[in-house]
Amino acid sequence: MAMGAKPSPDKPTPPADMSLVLDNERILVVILRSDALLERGKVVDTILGLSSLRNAANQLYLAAPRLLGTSLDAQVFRNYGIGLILFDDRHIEEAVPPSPVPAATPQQPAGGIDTAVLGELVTLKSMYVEMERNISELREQFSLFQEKLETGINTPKPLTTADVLHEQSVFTNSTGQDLPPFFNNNPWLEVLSRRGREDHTFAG
Amino acid sequence: MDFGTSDFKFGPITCGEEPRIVNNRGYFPERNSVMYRAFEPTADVIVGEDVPLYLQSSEDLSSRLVYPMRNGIIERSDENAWRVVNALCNFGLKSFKVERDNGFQGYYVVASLSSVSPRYMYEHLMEIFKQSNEDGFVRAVTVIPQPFAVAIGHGVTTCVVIESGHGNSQICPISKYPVRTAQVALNRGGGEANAITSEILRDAGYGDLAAEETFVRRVKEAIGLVPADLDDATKEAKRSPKKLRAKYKVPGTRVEIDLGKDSWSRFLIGEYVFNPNHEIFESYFGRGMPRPKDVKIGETVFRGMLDFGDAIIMSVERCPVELQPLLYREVVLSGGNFNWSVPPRLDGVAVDAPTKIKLLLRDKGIKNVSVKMTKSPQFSVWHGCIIYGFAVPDEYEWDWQRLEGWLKLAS
Repeated sequence: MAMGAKPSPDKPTPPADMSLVLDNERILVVILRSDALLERGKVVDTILGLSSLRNAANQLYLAAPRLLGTSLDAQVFRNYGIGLILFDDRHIEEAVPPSPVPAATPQQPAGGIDTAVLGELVTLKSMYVEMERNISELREQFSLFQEKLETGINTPKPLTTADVLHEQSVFTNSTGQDLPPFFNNNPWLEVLSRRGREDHTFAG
Repeated sequence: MDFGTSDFKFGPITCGEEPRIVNNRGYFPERNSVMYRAFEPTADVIVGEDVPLYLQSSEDLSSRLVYPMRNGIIERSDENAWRVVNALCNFGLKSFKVERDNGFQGYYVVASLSSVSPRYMYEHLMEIFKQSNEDGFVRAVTVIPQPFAVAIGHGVTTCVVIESGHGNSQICPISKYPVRTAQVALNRGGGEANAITSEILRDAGYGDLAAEETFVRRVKEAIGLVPADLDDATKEAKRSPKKLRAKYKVPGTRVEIDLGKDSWSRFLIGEYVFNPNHEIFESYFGRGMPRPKDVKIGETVFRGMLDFGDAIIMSVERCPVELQPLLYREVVLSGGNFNWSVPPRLDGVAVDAPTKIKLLLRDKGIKNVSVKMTKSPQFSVWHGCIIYGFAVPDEYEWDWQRLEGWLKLAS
């Protein structure tokens, strides 16, 4: 719109969010919002939806939050002629300009395989796998960070039964109970737990 | 289970920091007594908190009220004493609720006896647990010496433990195991401090009060002091009589003692415990106060007149040479007989037990010594028993040569 495009009188073809006209060319824009990060598969879903619009517009754009930009490979967008716009609260940038969509080619005879579509699918699949991996890592890091905040990094854990060196518990009716204070830092726990298992000469 | 000379301390790990405590005694009620007839059937031996309910007159006490371990040892043939121990063991086991539905398979019982207990006491105690295990309260039992338990409770694996109670004192080197061949026993304890206090009261004109054991013990605790050096302390006391005046009033009564110009004698009370060899005590022996003698009980000779410094050195020097410096660096004191305080104005003249031991050793040329009271004088034996029972593996079986391990009573 900053370059002079105007909203198209037609409604945008789903899943496009915006339909514009510039120099008699139809431009469709699919907007990927920030909350798409929280939904598993939403990002991939959106990108796959883009590919279905290839014949509905002369230029296709994906508009994505700048945060997501680091996980998107710009070269893939170039390869498929899809434009990429990155935005945040203050700035919008055309990261990858679209290539004009070529005129529709005659359809393959019935029963044949559209190799271009196949190729596109393979590419999208690899993009999907990589993004899934990135999102999983981010989720894991976030969980760890949350855990640390809740328990406190420097709070000493009370000594419990499981912490003590002891292969076979002599208590059949107590599990995980905090031990009395006189157990803390007592070297006898290790010495006594090795009774019968060390080679020693009796001092007595 | 800690079988002390006065108290029986017991309980599982769920007791936390402190065990349950009852007197280490039992009462044999007369079957014609009102209490016995009113509450039949009653046990042959009453133990625990119910004992005072059955006491009738003071004449009963000498024959019916039995303190089985007054001197740490029970005679093999003392049937009544063993019956009391039997009753206390059962009382201890059944005092705590168990959740059988929760998988309870019996306790691992750790009993603690005096380090000078002869082998037959171990045998007798284990037999008691075997025979009284009909209800399946005991999965396995073991017996460990009290000084060993003190070392465990104190958290030091190489040390000399000195345990001093009412009747005797034991010096026991520990190096991950008790060094049994190096143990030294003294035929001297808190009872001797009571004896010299009684003589001092007699000399001061309180002959009638001097015969009451409880009163004498209270006076000892109130006025008794341990001198850094007896001669210096005596001179200081005579030079500053007001500063060292020994007075004691029994709370809630008009009974009061005042040693006046003889207040210096309060230093004799502490000195006699640590070193009875000072010439001043000869006059007391001459007037009939029993001299601590060497006695043999079981296989152990209890030395009467050996001072604590010589006793520690004798014990340590029975250990390998490489171990000796390590032992001197960790001397641990345990037992009520080491509970001596220092009034603020008498610092330097009077000392506490650790300082006195250090001074005695220094006089004999042992310099790099660290002497401390055990962290929990009242409960360190019980703490040690709990840790032992928790940590020692189940498969470590009892061995009569090493006197350690679990004697399994349940499969």
